[in-house]
Amino acid sequence: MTVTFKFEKEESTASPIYRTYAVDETGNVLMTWQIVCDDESKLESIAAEAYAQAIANTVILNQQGVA
Amino acid sequence: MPTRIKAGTSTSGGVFEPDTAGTLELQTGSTPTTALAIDASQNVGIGTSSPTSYGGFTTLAINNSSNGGLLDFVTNGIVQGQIFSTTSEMRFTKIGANFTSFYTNGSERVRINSTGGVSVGTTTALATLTVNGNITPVQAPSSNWGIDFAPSTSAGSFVTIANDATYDLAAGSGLVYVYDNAGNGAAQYFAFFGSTSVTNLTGGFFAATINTAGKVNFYYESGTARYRFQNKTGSTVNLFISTIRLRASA
Repeated sequence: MTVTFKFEKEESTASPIYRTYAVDETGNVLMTWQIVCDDESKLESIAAEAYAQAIANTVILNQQGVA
Repeated sequence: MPTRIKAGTSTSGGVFEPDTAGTLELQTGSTPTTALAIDASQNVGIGTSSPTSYGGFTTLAINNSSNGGLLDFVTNGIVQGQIFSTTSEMRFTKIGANFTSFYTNGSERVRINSTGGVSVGTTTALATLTVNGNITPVQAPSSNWGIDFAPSTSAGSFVTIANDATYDLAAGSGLVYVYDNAGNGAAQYFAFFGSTSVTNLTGGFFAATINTAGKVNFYYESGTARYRFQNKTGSTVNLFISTIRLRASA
């Protein structure tokens, strides 16, 4: 699956905040989160790293809180 | 009985009486098309000759072959509000920078203001959702219950903070819970009137002092009057941040 990233700049009081969307080939949003970053040119690589880290460390719990 | 138009009586201004028990239709257009229909059960159709009918109800059906029905509420020729439905959407609209309210038993219960703020039990929205009263999760305590902040996917909602970047929380006093998604640690902070302290810490990943090298620091930033996360770890971090706000700061 190929994942691409879309960014929308949000209001910020400190570093710029970007609403980030991880999207698959068919346009489905797989994940959305915020990235705080002063350098817009690094957004793509930061998003890729953050997404990979989030997927690698996610433990999905059931309703009883058991993995 | 023939079709009759009768003069007014003491209780009506006039009567148009069809000659059968069928539907009364009013047609318009160069190719006459039914604009208004009233069936024998007093159901009314606009744009249809066959008003919908349900036992125990009198209906008003507005039909259009393209989109559907739309009700305009007009003041002195200017549309103020609308209700419409298409095949995919039911929409309630207040035109302009005004609010929409919902009443029960003679009192306003819920309001949506012009910027999308929803207030329950109060007419003033202080945030996206304001509730004047208690909020009670009804899940059993043994299950996964509580308030979920902006969940997105199974991975939840997190904030990615680039190295040397900062992320501000709104002003206020309360508890702040944070953990790093890569398993580097977790912390519970107490933020109180311009100061922060760590009340519980797992690992050495977090600190409550500005510019501590190698850590994510949480401190009060007086210039912005906000509590601020500062990433001094040397690399990007993914943080899950939850807050319980106790009261606004002075």
